[in-house]
Amino acid sequence: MGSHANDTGANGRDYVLQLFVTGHTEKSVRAVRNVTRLCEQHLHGHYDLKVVDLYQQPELAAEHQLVAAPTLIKTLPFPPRKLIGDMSDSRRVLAGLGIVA
Amino acid sequence: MDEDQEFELDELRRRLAEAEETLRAIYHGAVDALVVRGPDGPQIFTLRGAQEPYRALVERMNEGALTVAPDGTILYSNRHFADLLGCSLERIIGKPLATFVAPHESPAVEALLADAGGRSVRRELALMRADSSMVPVLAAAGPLVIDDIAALLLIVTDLTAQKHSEEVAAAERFARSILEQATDFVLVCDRAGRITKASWAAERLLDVPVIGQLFSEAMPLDLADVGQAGVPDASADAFLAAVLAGKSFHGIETRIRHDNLSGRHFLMSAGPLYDNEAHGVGCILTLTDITDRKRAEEHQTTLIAELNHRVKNILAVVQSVAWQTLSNSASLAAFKDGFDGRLKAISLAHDVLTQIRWGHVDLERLVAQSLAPYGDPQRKAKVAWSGPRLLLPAKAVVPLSMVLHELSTNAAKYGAFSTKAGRLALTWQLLDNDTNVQLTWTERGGPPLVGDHHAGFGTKLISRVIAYDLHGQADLHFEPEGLRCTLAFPMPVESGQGLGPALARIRR
Repeated sequence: MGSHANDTGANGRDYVLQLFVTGHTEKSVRAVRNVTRLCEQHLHGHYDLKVVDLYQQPELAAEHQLVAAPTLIKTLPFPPRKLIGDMSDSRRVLAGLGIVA
Repeated sequence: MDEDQEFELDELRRRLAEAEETLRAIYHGAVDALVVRGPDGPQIFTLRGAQEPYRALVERMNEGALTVAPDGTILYSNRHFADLLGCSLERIIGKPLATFVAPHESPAVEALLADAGGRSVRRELALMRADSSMVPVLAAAGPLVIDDIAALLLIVTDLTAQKHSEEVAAAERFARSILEQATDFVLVCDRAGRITKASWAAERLLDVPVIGQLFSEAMPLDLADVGQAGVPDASADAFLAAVLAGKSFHGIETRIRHDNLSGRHFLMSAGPLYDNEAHGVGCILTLTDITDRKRAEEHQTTLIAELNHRVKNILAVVQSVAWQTLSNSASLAAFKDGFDGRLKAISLAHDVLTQIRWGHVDLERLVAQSLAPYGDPQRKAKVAWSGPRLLLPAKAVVPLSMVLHELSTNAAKYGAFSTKAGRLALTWQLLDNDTNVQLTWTERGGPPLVGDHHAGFGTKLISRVIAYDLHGQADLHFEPEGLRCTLAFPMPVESGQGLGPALARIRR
């Protein structure tokens, strides 16, 4: 439970996130770990994270116009955002999601 | 620039930023797969080709495979694990492993994760499915290093089938131990009427192994009451056919036509057996040996009939004694005395019979009991008896008792028992090679006898009883010194008839 587990960190709104990974590969594994940790620390109780394995559901790649994996897509709150990479740069990720750290 | 143009510009900037971001990520090696559109839809191209065979293995293996962070977060799961939990993959990856484990197993999971950091460990667990049902699994965990991330690899095997087999095996063992312990016939047959299981007792009683034999051949039945069973005939075939068709039976009496079991009676119960899909798979039969019980029942029936017979006899005797006493009594008071006395004699006789359980009685005992009221304890010489040990069957007890009673009553009224000086000597002996009994009743010291004493009912009874019930002869000599009575009859042979016909027939 991070110190930001309050409304201020989350802007008082709930986040809907989808992380697209490719199974067991190195960056994917990292991305999963990093994103889940970030969400717990900064969005505790205010997020809905789905992790999609593109190897098992490749059709979803076209739906979201994915180009590479791992990709993190923020659907809510507006505006939608797309982040690519293993998400190890926390500051960059938080900024991309519009979360004030 | 107007608003629309502003908005469009912002949108373009956003898309450009995104494109730059994508290119930057690829350029810096922050991605490990690209999505390329192929003829059949999007294709995922992993940038590290060597991973392909391993990936295929993990995806298609028949076990659940997980990669778990040391803190328990699931980093990766294959489809099989998701299927095991009845959950979709998206709901699994990123969640703590503890979410999918039965609550009481949390400590076990923690221990597993802690131990697996250094070596491979295995543990049986219960996972909780999406519908809250439990699935037993074997989890094998070991360390896995992905680059610099220390993670754990878990392989999860569904044990449901194995647990089921264990349960089936345990049930089999339990059924077998019941068959071992059963002391009666317990037989299980398949749909063709062939014996598939038998209690150890059954095999021992039949002397041969019966498994595999047709029931109708191994146990040829002979039903006692075809109507009760509701089958067309008394054979095993008809009965078994009815049971296999679904009918249950309880308490059917039968015999078995087998050398070891001739003369024995059995009580049989049978019922059909069904599998999980409610198909008939055979039947089970149990037979209990009730021969001893049946004999006891038959014996009891015989005894009751015998008892009935004897009671009726006694009532007949009492009736005729009452009638005769009445017709020979001058007054009601005289009747009461006479009748009372005779009834008492009969009652005492029955006491003796009960004591000896209607078996055999020692003549001396009978004599002692009959003469007890007349003997003066202080003057033992008043009544004396002697003779060899002589066992008489039950049917002689009442006749002899009555005779002794008549003689005693007579003696009390007119003879030795009516005065202080009177004495009685009673002796008996066996003659003619122990086939004949002779009793001699001699009274002396009583008042002188006068008049004719042969016409009294008592003397008539004595003669009749000795003649008809004991097939002998009574000689009464009313000598002046006292009565001398000789009774001679053949040694009675037990015939189980109870009372003699004479007493019942004395009528006038």
